[in-house]
Amino acid sequence: MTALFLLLVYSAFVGYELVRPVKRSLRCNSQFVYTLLQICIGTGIGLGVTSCLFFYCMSAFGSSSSKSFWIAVGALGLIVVTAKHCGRRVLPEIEIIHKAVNGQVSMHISGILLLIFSFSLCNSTIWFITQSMAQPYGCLDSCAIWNLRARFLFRSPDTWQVGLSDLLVHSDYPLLLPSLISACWALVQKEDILVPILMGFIYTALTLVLLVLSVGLFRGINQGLLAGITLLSYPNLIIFGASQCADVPLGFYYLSAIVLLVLALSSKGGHCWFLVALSSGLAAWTKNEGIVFALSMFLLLLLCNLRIDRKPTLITLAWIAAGFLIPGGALLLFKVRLSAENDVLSTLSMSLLQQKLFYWPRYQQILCQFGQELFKFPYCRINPIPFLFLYGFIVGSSLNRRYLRGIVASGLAIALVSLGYFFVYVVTPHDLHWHLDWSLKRLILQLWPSVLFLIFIAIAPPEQLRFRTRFRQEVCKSLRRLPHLVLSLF
Amino acid sequence: MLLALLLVETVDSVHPISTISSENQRRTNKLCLAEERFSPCRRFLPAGGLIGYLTDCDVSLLLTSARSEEIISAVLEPPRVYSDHLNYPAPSGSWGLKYYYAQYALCPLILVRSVCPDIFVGDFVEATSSARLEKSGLFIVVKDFGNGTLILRKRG
Repeated sequence: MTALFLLLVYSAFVGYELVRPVKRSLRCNSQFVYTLLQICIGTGIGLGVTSCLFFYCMSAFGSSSSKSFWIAVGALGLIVVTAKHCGRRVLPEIEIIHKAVNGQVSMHISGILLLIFSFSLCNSTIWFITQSMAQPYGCLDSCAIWNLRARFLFRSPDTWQVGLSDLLVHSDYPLLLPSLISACWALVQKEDILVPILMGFIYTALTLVLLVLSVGLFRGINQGLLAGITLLSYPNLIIFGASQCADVPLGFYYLSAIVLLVLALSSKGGHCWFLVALSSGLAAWTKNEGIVFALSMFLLLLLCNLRIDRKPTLITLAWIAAGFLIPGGALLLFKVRLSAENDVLSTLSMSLLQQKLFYWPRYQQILCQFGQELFKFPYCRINPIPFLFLYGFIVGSSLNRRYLRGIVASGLAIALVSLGYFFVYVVTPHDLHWHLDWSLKRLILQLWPSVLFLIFIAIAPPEQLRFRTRFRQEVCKSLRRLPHLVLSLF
Repeated sequence: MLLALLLVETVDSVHPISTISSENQRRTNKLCLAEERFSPCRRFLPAGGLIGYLTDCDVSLLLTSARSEEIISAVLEPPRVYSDHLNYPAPSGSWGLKYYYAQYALCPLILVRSVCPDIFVGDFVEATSSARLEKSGLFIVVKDFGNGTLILRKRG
């Protein structure tokens, strides 16, 4: 427990030092929020980079023992020192402008929101603990994939590659989570059952905190709390977080990359492309779905730079490449030298691909199930999506033009990832109904925090509602129409 | 309005807690039980490599077929058949779930449903399975742990 705490603090410190060069010059009262945001992103990045370096050391020394772990920790320290000395000079500053709102009203709404948020948080924490007590080894997925790999790495440190045998299921999944868990086990020299549970808890908490803080930074903390409550009301976050699967960490890295992308694009002359690339790369090192995301982000980063600067400067491209370097290298090494073939790609032939791509009922089935899943919204009795749109319609958007580029680019990234997921279903060799049924809710969970972030920074915060007569009129009008709207929705 | 909805959702999330937790509780017990059941086996098994994995349904298949090893190979599924994983999560009672639990408990050994390895782990529910298997003359019981878990060796 202490060892895990120390690793977490070290990772947080390292990550924070990596994020800190993206210095702020805030013209707002959100300096504290920004520092917390840096710590939050830094912790996730620190954990991810630790995992990558542990994997590099395992590959280099052929052993997943504690020796490799300590070398990884040393290498991480070296990276931080380098980043500290070089980064601040090279990375320009970020400037975020956030209009302060009327204090009294904001405080009043804050109180109500804080109360509901605290209630949700307590409820979710209790739920997480109950779930973890009920399934201390995680769900079937975690014991068949993630924790099983971690056990292989820890129990056979000198022959850890055996755990990537194609006799086991999904041996092609990247090793962020298994190597982190086994690194912790190597540190404490025992297979502590608490480690995977706490790892699940850390990533679930980081996702929530990151969403609240990032929305809070752009739109005020009230809006951030609202986003947090919406995320907490989605039970899959806790279910999958406590199940010790990689979907929640993947969702965190997606969100982290999207937040950093919006920050990069809304900053005045400042870019944090390195961190966007690093987060995207870590998503790819978490799960295969993350590779689709990393590729989409890579394309977008190039496009954004082409659009902003007309010709991308060599230094920007170098930072993007540097960001992808650590996780991308680990992934490449893993995929080329160690992992088994991917179950979807290995069975694809040109003729089969053509056959599936031009078989339209598959598209129809996928779209139908996508729609059904979004309509049902797993484990939620009331689907929040129509209400979010309705709320957005009532409150309206007071979008700062600064954020617009970031929101459009991030929306495009999510659309590209969704498209990628869609075509994986089109060409899947498995029974389509089974594949959709088994994985679709996970994909929604992975993207949901990022979607919420975009929705809540696009719409106006609740306190601005009071000062807008036209919105008040709209609200009154909408409230009168509300019963009809609700009835028509169900 | 959104707040009201979110409050309803939050309170409502207490509902799935009860259903999911109890469902997982059952599943967890199986996993925890598998850990307990297989932990004594580990001392008698090699430190690594491949070992065979047999369940009740394998015994029935083996004993209803001819008793030559070639036929056994045909009856037991080869170790790498992806369609096996398509049953995952397998409905309760079939071999799928039990296999994953056993694999997790016996890591870093790799369990395969094949007759290639010399040593096998039996994961039986029916008390008669081990006796039937030994009587068939195909396997020798090396160690019976008394909880449906056995270590077997191929005869010859």
